[in-house]
Amino acid sequence: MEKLGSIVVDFFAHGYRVSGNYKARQRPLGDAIYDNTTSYLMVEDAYFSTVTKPADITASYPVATIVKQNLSLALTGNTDDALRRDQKYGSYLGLKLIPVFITLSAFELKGSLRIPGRLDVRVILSTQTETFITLVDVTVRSTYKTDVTFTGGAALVNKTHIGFMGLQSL
Amino acid sequence: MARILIIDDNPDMLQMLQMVLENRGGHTVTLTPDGQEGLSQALTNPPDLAIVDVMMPDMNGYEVVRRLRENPRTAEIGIIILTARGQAVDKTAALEAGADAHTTKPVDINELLELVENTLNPRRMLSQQGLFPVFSLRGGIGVTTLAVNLALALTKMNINTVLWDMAYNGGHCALYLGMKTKHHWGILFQSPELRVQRLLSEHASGLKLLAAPPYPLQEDRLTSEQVTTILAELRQSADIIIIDLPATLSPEVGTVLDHADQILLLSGDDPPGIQRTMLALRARQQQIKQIHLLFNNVTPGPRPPLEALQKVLQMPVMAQIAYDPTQTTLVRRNTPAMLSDHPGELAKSIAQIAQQLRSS
Repeated sequence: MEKLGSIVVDFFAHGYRVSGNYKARQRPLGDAIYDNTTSYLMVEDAYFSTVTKPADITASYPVATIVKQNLSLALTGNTDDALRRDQKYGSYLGLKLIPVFITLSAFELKGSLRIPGRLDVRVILSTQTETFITLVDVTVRSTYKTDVTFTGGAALVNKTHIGFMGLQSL
Repeated sequence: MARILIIDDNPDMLQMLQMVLENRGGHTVTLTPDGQEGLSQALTNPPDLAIVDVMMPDMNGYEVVRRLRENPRTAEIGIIILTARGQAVDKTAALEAGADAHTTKPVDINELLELVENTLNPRRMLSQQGLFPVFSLRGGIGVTTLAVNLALALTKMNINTVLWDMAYNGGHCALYLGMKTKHHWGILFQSPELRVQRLLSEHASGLKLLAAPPYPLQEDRLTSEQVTTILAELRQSADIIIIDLPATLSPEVGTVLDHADQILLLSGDDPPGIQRTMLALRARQQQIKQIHLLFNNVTPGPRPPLEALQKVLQMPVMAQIAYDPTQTTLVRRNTPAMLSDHPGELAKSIAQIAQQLRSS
């Protein structure tokens, strides 16, 4: 179910997939996830599945709390739905798409970083100021069930969960 | 006009669907806000078609569909799953539960109306069977790109489609689709008793692929009998077969073309491309009415006028595929144009070709 003014987001954490409505009208999802001053995110109409059987709904609750620290990634169908307010606009330097491959504990991701200027891996992966990064045009593959894939316009990925990051060049 | 039952817990969605299906589709619509009530309503007064949401609190949509299929009164009605859960696994789950089709929210009104018509009229869907090889005698002008994306476009229309990569020198369809395939048709040379169905790989979109051998075949060549058998078995696995043919008029390619319902002949608009197209047209003169001529612009720049090309080749051009600068990037990312979030000119052109083939 998708309510007016809200978006349906797939959240992945600890072997679970949760599809829920996030009220994006008040605050874009990207802003809420990147916000270091909050630890939780509230979603409505949450439907739970395990990643091994991602289409089987095992439970549903009218409201669910997402613990951001434990969240591996959040995936949206539309790219704009996951972008922070400031990421939706252009840049003086122009935005570059840099294909990346990322591994998390239970997933591997293929997508592109959309960044202005030069890529600096240390800045991108640093968790000092921001704990998430945004990838666009994303394919997520379950590590333990490799025939299960999820695709989306964008994903917000928890940097503290990243094991490896592959790039075409530095 | 059909009787349509919509089961969705979102009142805004119910209102919108009712307005569209009544005013534009001319159908009679009944609305129910939850799975349990929708189920009892359907069993009391079976509709022609049910549109069912998945994420509903009391009984989820898959369970509703299963129960509708179990009951003889509603076992034969058309069912469309309409959900915000739009991953490939969700589509598979919907079809496994017994739905005829799956589509995602936010829904395109025209697509929904078309899907409703197709689900209500299964004969129309059945008539969409066909064998469509994509062919050119000139390499490097996008035969694989067209075949892969056309097969995906048809799959997106909920048509059961299989793509056969017939290349002998390591085909690229699996690569374009970002698939790592275990099986390929080259295995048939070692194990001729194997059923072709066992060699098919399934893409996340639902498209089935009969992949090419990942290594060049030196001496093994498919015989006409083998090709005929493969085609017969593929027809059992899918309604539409798209074949990425090698750029040659070898006997096995000839066998495929002999069996084709319609041939998509791809041409470049440069002199060598036109010369090869003329050769192909001459070679398949007896099938001229089945040939659809397409021009693919793989480089930027000015193009000769369409009228001039039609005059030279003495046949109408079905479509002129526009140059798409994003194609190179998409191929590098293993993302076919049809699956890109930002469909470019190529995806738009191919969607139109798929639509034309479907209605032809």
